[in-house]
Amino acid sequence: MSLWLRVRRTRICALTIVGVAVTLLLTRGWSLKLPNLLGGPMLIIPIALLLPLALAIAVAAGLTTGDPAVEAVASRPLPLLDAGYALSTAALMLVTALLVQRIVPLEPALAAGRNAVGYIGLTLIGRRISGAQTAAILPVAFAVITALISSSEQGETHLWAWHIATAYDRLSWGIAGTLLLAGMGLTLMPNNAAITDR
Amino acid sequence: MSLHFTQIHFRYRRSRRPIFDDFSWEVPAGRTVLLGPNGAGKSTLLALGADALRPHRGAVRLPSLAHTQNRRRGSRAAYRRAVGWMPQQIRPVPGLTIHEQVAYAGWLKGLPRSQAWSAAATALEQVALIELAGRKTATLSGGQLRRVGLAQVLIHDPQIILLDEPTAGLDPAQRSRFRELLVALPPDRPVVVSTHQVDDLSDLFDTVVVLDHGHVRFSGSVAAFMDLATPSAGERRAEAAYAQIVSEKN
Amino acid sequence: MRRLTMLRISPLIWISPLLVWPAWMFVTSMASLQLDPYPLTLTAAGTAALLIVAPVCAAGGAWEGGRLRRAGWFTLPHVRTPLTVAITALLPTLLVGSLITFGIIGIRLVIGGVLLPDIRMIITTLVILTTHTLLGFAIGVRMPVVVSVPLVFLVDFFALGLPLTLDPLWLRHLTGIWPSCCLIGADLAPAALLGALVFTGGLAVTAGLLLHPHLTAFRLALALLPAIIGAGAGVQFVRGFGPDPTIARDPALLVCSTGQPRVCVWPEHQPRLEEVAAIAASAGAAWQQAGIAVPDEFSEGQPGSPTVRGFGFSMRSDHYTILNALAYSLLPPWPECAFSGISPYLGAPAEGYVLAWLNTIAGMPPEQLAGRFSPDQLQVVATVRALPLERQQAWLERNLVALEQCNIPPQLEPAL
Repeated sequence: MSLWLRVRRTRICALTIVGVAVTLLLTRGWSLKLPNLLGGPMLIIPIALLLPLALAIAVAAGLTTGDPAVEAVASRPLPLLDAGYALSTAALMLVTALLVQRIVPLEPALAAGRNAVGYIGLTLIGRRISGAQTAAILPVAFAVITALISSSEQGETHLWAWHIATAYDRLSWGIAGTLLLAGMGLTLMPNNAAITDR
Repeated sequence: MSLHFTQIHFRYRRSRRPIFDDFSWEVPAGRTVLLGPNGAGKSTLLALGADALRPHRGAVRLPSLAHTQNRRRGSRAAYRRAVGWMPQQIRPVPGLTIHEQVAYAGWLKGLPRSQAWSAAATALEQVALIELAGRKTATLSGGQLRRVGLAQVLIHDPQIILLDEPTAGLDPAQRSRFRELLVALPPDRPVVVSTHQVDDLSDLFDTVVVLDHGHVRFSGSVAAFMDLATPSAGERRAEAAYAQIVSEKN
Repeated sequence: MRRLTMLRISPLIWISPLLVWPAWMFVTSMASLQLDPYPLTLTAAGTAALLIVAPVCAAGGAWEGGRLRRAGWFTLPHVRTPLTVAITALLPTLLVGSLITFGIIGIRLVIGGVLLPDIRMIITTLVILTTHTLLGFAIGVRMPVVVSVPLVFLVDFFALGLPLTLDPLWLRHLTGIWPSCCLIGADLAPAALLGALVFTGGLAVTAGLLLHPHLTAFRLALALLPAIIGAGAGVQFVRGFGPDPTIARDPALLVCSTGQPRVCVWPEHQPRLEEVAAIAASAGAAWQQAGIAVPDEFSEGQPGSPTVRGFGFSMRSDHYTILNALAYSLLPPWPECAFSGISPYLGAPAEGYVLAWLNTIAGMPPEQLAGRFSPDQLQVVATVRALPLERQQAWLERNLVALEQCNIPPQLEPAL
């Protein structure tokens, strides 16, 4: 198991979680000004909501390490372990975000934790749809594109922009959680392409 | 014990034509060399046998196991433990030493951690890499990496061994050494070695199988295979016999 | 490599249709479509497309670099230089990025009624696009594509977008993207341009050095030096600028009328010079009759003498907006306290009243006055207008003094 944890570069994931937390603290109040592709006023997106994409990239990278051919014929339930790896990383980031929120009154911190859950889910989904090498492109593209179309002309936030919603929006948590579960489900399904994928 | 392929149908996602269509074959006892041109389906066949790929129809079975390659996880795990597979590409896992990489392969095959570690040492001795056990796999030569691949197969003591082009890219000395390793494998375990180089053929093997376009064109002893060559072939009998089989069907 | 092959394998080719709309929206959200036909303004507005195009091209560069990495490029004996190979691999990406960016700039120019862009902004855009793409490539050739492509996009996206919202304000000028530059009376400051080019150039050199086949730790440190030096030098050039990287435009470019008072406008406004001069003449005559000192010249440039007053308008301004601008130019400049906030500026309320009075004198009709000033202001002005001329002049003088000073309260209601 320890070898598997090393192969999956869990240390890098842990460091990324710490890095995201530290960056959250250092970039308090920083935001991006993005145009609203649906018309209406420009959107101000706190970068705290996009920082967890770094963790999605780290998870995607961790899942590409190892020898795909040897792992494809493993007796151990590697897909289950990989799904667990993603879940643990998301949970750890969530706990870290909660701690940051408790220590420092940083409003977007909890939302960042939620976003980590959703982005990692999207990474798993992307891994299944387009392959391991391009797994992290889905959450990054999703986050940026939906940020650009997150708000109507009247300023109402759309459903798909769950990652822009405040941390108190329950539906956004449901969507993030569903994405993670969907990604884990896809990870558990057999995949003929896996041995040539990395 | 043997591996049975029964009415296999398999096609890669991006390919229109199936690689195998209603293909059936039983792996002979002893050592089998699987010959065939590039694209014949040799690697795919071995990957199917190893459960790295799943056929869309048909089944691959190890009759010595009660249930094989079905959807139940326990059965699948048992099957995979019983089949050892060395793929064409051996990838060095970044950051791991040779010993660690082979132990990892053993752990993947269900060996407990400590057992995987000691079994890895044994496997590395078998492939004459024990002295380099502490070296990072990323620093190895092609030939050394191939031996790591073989060690990854031997560590879990499989019932059947499938080696996909194990000597590809090796120089004659390295290929000779690899043949010695093959000789040292347990004789009661079926071994299938795929290659597209007919000069790998030797007394080492019991059966020659020629695969072309997803069909077995020839299956027989080495002597029967060589007899297919015309008398004028001289020392290049194996090449001539091979050409005879492959061109006959084209 | 065959051109068709290069076009077929480049991901930017098939992403490009999806990129056009967001790039256009970046441009139209950062600056109004209704801009004067000033090449610098229109070209700069179009460069807002880089805020999304450059990160996508950088990610495309990382993808191309990743392709060569997977092919084991650095293990092969090279004949062509790494930079040559890199530029060749990146040609489709650069082509797509350039087509989209310059296409959007072209559309902005056409809408604005201008044919030729500002060449400085075009060169800067090309340098930015090439540098970001090359940097993406240099990173992509060193890191697994699973990390390099999304990471390069994110970092580039943040690096270009964040400075627009951060303090200090001069930080944004290092990016070389100025979507809201510049007013017609302003020109791009050479120091700002140089700062951006030096900074970006440093990054480009670093990217080139990162392509060395045998990148040891020492070579890596050396490779980062140009970026660090470029950043330091760039900061020196742009430090001290506010939100706009501008200097006053060359007054020699002004085009002037021949009548009295003289009116001088920027060349882009020349089609309306006669009209503005007529408004100035008519208003000037009315102000003179009311005993107001009318300047010799109304100019869009910086007023260089007491007899010249500065004003401004746009090509979409109507007659009365121009009249109001001329009237506004008669007001004294705000004192320092109005900006610093250290001491109160007591005279501030007088501005609206005096302006309304000047417009009334110049003949602005009531419906136009009602759209610009409050009913209270108009009522007071009506009261003042009913007074004898000397008392009106005294009222004006009292309030002009209040506007010039910090601690003199205005006399909005005329003394009875």
